[in-house]
Amino acid sequence: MVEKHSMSMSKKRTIGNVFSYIALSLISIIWILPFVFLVLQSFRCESTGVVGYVLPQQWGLDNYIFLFSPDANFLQWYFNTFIIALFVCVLQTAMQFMMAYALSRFRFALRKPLMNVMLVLGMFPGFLTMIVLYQVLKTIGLTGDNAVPGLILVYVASSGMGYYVIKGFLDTLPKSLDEAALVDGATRMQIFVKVILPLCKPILIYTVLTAFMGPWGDFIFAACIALGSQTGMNVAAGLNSWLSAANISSNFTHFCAGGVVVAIPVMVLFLFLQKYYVEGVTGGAVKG
Amino acid sequence: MAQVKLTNVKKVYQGGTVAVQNFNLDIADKEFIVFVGPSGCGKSTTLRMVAGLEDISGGTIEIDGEVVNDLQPKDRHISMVFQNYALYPHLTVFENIAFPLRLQKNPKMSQDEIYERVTSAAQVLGITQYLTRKPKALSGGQRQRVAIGRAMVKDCKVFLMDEPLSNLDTKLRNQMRAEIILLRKRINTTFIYVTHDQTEAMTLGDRIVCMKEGGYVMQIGTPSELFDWPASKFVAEFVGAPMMNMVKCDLIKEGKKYFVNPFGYKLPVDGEKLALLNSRNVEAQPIYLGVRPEHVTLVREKKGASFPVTIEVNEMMGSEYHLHVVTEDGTKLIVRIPTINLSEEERTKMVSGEVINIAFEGKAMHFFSQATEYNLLIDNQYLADKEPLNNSPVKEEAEEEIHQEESSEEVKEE
Amino acid sequence: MEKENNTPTNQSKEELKINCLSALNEELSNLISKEEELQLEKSTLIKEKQDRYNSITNELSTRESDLDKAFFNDEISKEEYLKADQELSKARESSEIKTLTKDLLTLKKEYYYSVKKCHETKIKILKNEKKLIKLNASLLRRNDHETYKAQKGSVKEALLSNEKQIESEKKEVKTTESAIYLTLSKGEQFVFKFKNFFKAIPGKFEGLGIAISKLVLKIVFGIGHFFKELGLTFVHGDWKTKVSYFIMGFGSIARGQWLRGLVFFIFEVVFILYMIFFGGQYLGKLNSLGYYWEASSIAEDGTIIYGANSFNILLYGVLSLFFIAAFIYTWYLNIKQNKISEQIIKDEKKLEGAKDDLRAMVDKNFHKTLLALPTLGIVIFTILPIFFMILVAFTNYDANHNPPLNLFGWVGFDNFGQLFEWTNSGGASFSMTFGQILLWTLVWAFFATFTNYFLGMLVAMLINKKGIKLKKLWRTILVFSIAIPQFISILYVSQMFASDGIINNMHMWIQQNWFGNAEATPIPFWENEWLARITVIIINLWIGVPYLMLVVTGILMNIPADLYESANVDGASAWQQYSKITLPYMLFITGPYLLTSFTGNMNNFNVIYLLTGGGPKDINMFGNAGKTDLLITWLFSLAINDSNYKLAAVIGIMVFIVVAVVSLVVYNLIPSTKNEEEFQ
Repeated sequence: MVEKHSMSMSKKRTIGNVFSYIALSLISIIWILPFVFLVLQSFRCESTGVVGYVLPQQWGLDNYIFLFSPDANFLQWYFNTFIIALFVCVLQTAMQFMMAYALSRFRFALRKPLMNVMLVLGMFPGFLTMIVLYQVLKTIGLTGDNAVPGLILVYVASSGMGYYVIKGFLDTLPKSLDEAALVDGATRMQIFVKVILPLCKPILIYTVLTAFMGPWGDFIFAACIALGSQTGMNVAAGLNSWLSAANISSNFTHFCAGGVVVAIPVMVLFLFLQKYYVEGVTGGAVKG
Repeated sequence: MAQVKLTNVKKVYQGGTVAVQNFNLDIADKEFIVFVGPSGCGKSTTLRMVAGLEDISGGTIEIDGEVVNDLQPKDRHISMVFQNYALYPHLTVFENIAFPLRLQKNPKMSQDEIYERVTSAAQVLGITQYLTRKPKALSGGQRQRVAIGRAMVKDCKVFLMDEPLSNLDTKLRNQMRAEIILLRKRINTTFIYVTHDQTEAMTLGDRIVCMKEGGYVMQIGTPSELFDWPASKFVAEFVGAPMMNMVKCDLIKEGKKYFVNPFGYKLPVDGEKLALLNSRNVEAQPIYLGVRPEHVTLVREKKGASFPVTIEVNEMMGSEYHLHVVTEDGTKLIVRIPTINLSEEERTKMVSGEVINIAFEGKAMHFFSQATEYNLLIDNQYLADKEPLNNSPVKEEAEEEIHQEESSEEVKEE
Repeated sequence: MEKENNTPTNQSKEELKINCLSALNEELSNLISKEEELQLEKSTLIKEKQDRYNSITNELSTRESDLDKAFFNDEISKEEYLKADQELSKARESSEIKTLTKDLLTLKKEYYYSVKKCHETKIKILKNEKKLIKLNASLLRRNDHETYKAQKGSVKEALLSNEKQIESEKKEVKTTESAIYLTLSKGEQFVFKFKNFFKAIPGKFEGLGIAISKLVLKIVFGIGHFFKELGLTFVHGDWKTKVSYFIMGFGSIARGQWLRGLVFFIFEVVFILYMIFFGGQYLGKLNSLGYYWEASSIAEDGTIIYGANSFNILLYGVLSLFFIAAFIYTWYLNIKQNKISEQIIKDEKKLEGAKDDLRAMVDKNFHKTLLALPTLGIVIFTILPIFFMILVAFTNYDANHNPPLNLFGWVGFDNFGQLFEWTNSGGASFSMTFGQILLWTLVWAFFATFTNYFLGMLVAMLINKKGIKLKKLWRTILVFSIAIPQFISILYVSQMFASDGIINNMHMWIQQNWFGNAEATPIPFWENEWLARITVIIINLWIGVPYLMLVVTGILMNIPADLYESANVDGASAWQQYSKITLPYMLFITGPYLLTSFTGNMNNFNVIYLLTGGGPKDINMFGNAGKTDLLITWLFSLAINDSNYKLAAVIGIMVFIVVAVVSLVVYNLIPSTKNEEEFQ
């Protein structure tokens, strides 16, 4: 009697697990399939347009060769994006840390108002500012071919508003560490540099990672600010231009190849730093 | 030379909560002062004001004759040990201890001197073999030693400790307590020590400041003063374990004689206490009669001033019994009896339900007024300070309202 | 004569008031006593009914136990026992008991309501009494100042105790309310909650009103104080201070604080230069934004003759306004600095020199150093543009008024007026389109948020299920899709679903080869209005679920395991465990996150723009809007494709208002888990 009961229990569990595995496999397939398709399409040689089948009839590296040929501006775009990402991930991280640390560790009169103002500003759609910023950058001469420094400026300048995740992390560091250092004779800056920053490694990596990834994906600001220039665009804007109605028939497979080339470094970075990313996302959501 | 002087120190948080009321204290050079009290009594806040980690809302704090109200913590020449150790997790034990030394300027300390100081401190504290470890790899007691090491390498005028032992288990706590006494001899500077544990306070302090919720200082004195002459019911109950028995009864005055009437008995007051009552000419009044559990004695044969009580619970402590007993009129008392005085037969009788006779002497009695809860036999300078209710924010608001009303009326009249 | 007359009437007015109030109070206390009588009646009734109920149930239970006993002792047969048992259970459900319980509940409800009324009336009385006390006091003050002074303390005490009484009465009302709540049925409880929520709204508005009026007062007094202080400082200050009113930083330099002084001075110089050579011209034209005859024009030889440019006038005008505000503040700081320094010198303390200032920048004022750059960036690159665009909403800046050749000007609220114009002779109406798109935006945000949330939770729970192996692999596969830049994956997926895309090709192939349907047509994923909307939501799942999976996994790990263990011991099923433990915990923790992801989805530009571009387009909608357009994508296409900046600005403001309202309402409804000091 007892044995039979336990049998049915384990049987039930096995059946449950089998269902779970089936579901998980299905989910995995759904999530991975588009990428597989993308990669397959990037090896298609017989035509460059949109086709209805997945497996190329003629395999080859033509599309990749095109990307790195001087005909395409892809290398320029790629380089642009890389430079932007590099600068942004350093400067944006610095800005956000400055903001977050000041708001987390100091109590000053304008603290609450400042936080509220930033909260309210965050409720305005970001595109509103685009028209103005374009004009401003144009006046300084940072549009078109010079879009790269212009884009860096736009990305970095207001990035202090994204301080929330870091502040959430800093808030969990015990205040007594600061106090101990204060008594030990450290200035506030020394505390920041010597005590707090070394403890922020996980969130630092998260911030750098997200800041680095941002410019690879942003095409709307980039396209807007690089308006009219082929050499000023970033990868996203450039690849997006290949999918316009006029270009898609001659450039679709190029787009696929470009997508793969863009995705690879980000993905590699991501796989190595996944742990920190997960920590950041979870922490940000819980305290968000 | 490092006297510390607190004059009318006050702490009011934003929103009007008063954490510390009118704190006055002179700490002599090389004195060991303990702030003790239940949580929320403002003892830590006071310490943090001395350290410069909290702003001072009112009054002045002087260290060595210099007003330090507006000085940064680092300019106050203090060292501090925190309750949760506050070790820097990313630094090794050596670097943790060396941290304050590395920050020192004019003159900047040489590498050799830093090494010298850190290793000698580590030797004193017995943590030499852990110097290369990170704090995470240490036990609670070891971390505490590192924290103390970090505080003691620096030349400081005042050594502050904020509940340094409260995160340790009992055994380690007793051991560290003894070590702090030794440490004190070695460092030989002024100490301020905050704790909620009255045993720590009694064993460590030259003088004790006993505080109460709301930031009131209840008594300042040596350990024996606090134990023998508690200024109020609060201090009496806080100091000593188990807690002092408090019995509501009346103080009766008949000419030059005083009596008390606990549990329906009428007991005469005699000895020193009677003399004091007479010299202060205390009025007859309802009182709390306080008797410490260890001052209650077991009476084997029923004599004049003894009362029968029923044992409810017997807590066996090894060297002594803590008997929870009930008198005939239902008052609950705790009696502490050393087991060594009891015969084998008597011990078997100390169980729940048995009736025993107890008594206490006149000199063991403490008298607290029921109206004010203060000791009727001593003057305490801090009694005058206590004016609760008057500072409550509600009242101020009401006052403001009246003023507003008045001013608006004045406008109308004009 | 007049004077004599005046006083008594004045007095009698107050006395009249007092009399009125006392009469009112008497009436109110009469009401209370009436209510109390009613309560007494009710409570006796309740007692009667309760007794009756108890006696019946008691009798039943004694009968039951008797029966049991009889059965055990074999005094009755099994049939008899069962029959009797049935009778008993029937009796338990008899109509009398039912009516009794119902009556009891209603009676109790009525009783508590009356108690509540009593307490509320008492609060009224107390409030009146407060007024009475004050009135009496002021009366006394006028007539007999000495006595008034003597009694001032007691008046205050009376007020204080009055306040306390009111507080305690309010508490009573609350406890009575919870007692009432318990007597209600489930439906009524919901209505009760609902009612209370809406009842609280006026209170909240009242609170808001009070807060705003206090703020206004504070500002007014602040400005008064500001001028008073300025004047006083000028009058009492020494000559260095006085010079500083005109040459900023002079006092500081003269007193040896040269660094501060220099900064002030340089700021003033920069400000003056800016105003003379740049800002001033724009500021002057801010009221007109340039007249049309000032606009640039093209000369006969094709060169452009530059004239006024409304855009620049508005932009740099606003910048100048910001600059002026900053200048006034700095000027004020400069004067305050002088005052402080004077005080320090008077106290014979040491003034902080340049060295101290520099040291403070990395120590005491380190936060200012840290914040300087980020806030400056925000002011110039976010606040200024937003301010500018808000102003654009009040102009006619569009394709027909596009500088430099055509200038735009102020039009007041005309653009907002279009939001309420329901008929538009010239084609599609802006207001109708706005309404449609707003509705879809909200629907989209709702579905996008909650489908992601629940599916993400499901996937996370699947992966974290006991006995599932290769957890890391499953997770990594999903996280993969986050790593690939969104524009690549979304653009590709969008292509997959196109009419000539892979999905449709497979669909056609299957139709033809398996079902022999030679005339199969592609599924119009992006062409059909509803299909497009549904597809967008489904593809959004593909994008959002990995994130949610990560978030939920983190939180699932944090749910104390003993909760599940005790539930297991209690025999809760998997579904019960989920609905009673997991879900409430998740909702509680992720409340704020849900809110931000809701507002984030309202502005989810990337997904819609890359997937559908807002399509399918509808010529019946204003400004080339499509059926899946969100406000944000519509805003974008209006601004970029149509250069209709004025309406884009209006939409931007409306988006802000919607987001702000949603956030405020939701934030007040969810149990807030935010307490930033809690962690430290």
